Amino acid sequence: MRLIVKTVTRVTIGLVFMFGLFLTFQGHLNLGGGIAGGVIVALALILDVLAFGRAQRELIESRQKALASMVTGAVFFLLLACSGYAGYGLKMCGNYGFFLYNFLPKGAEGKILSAGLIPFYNLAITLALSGALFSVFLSLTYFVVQVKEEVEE
Amino acid sequence: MAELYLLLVFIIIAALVAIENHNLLSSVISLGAAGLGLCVIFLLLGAPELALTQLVVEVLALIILVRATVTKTAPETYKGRELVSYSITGIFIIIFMAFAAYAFRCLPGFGFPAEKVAKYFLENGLSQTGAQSVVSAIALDFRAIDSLAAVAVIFAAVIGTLSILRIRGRKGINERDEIDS
Repeated sequence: MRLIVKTVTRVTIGLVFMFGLFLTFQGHLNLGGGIAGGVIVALALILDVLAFGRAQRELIESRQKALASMVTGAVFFLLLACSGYAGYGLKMCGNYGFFLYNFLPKGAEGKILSAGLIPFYNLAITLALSGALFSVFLSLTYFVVQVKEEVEE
Repeated sequence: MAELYLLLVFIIIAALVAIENHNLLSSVISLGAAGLGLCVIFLLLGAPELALTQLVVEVLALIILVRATVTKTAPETYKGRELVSYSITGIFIIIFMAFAAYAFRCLPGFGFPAEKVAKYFLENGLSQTGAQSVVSAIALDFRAIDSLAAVAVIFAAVIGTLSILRIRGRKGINERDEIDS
């Protein structure tokens, strides 16, 4: 890409990334949440690739990392959901904890660390969604590169 | 309400253009126009959370689709089966419309909060979950299993995409299925 695009990207990409994380971490207080935050984080990563480009090997490595992020997020979500069973020892809820039970204390209204497990759910969704979308984008890019090579051969 | 109907007409026109256009890039762009119109409608109806999510998803989908379509030509069309497929589509549209007409009669009026469960969520969201945003309270506490399913669906979709988008391991153009012999 041109110099102007690169310079503007270099200045703004951190802000875009921070905005995504901001939406994630205040999702239980205001607009935002894991889905919007995750998509914006993925957009920041895509902007990076579009502006600066990647070598083929780096494309594959980035895709591995994005897939690892996706798997981590999904498994994290599932573990959080299963941790509801641990609610038995921490707080009595009837006689047993259950799947997706929000066992952490609710905390003060309006604080970042409130609403029990909801911020952690948001974080897990952000990890999974940003990794998933970024890996789809990288796969498409890599596919186009490979098709071009095949046509040239 | 007039602007709402204007936007709806705009979305319908954009969708028709997207379907009828033979240039894939133009189709993708008019699809994006339809999505952005939906985003404005969400804003007008007072749902900024939905509008935000719709906007960012729309932008990302536009980028991915443009990336996917920009180097490819239009896909091949299927010929010879128009009559059967059109008649089956027509039958299903009629069945769907009949059920929809029956169901819409039973619904409460637009914007009329008659659903007791929704009212319970609105009243007890903060006190039971501690989350100030009632959307988060519903999406990640009352109906968290929906979010779990959404993550699972994204996971499956990405796995499917990755298995389709590959060069190595695919069949060649002239290669035949092993089942044929």
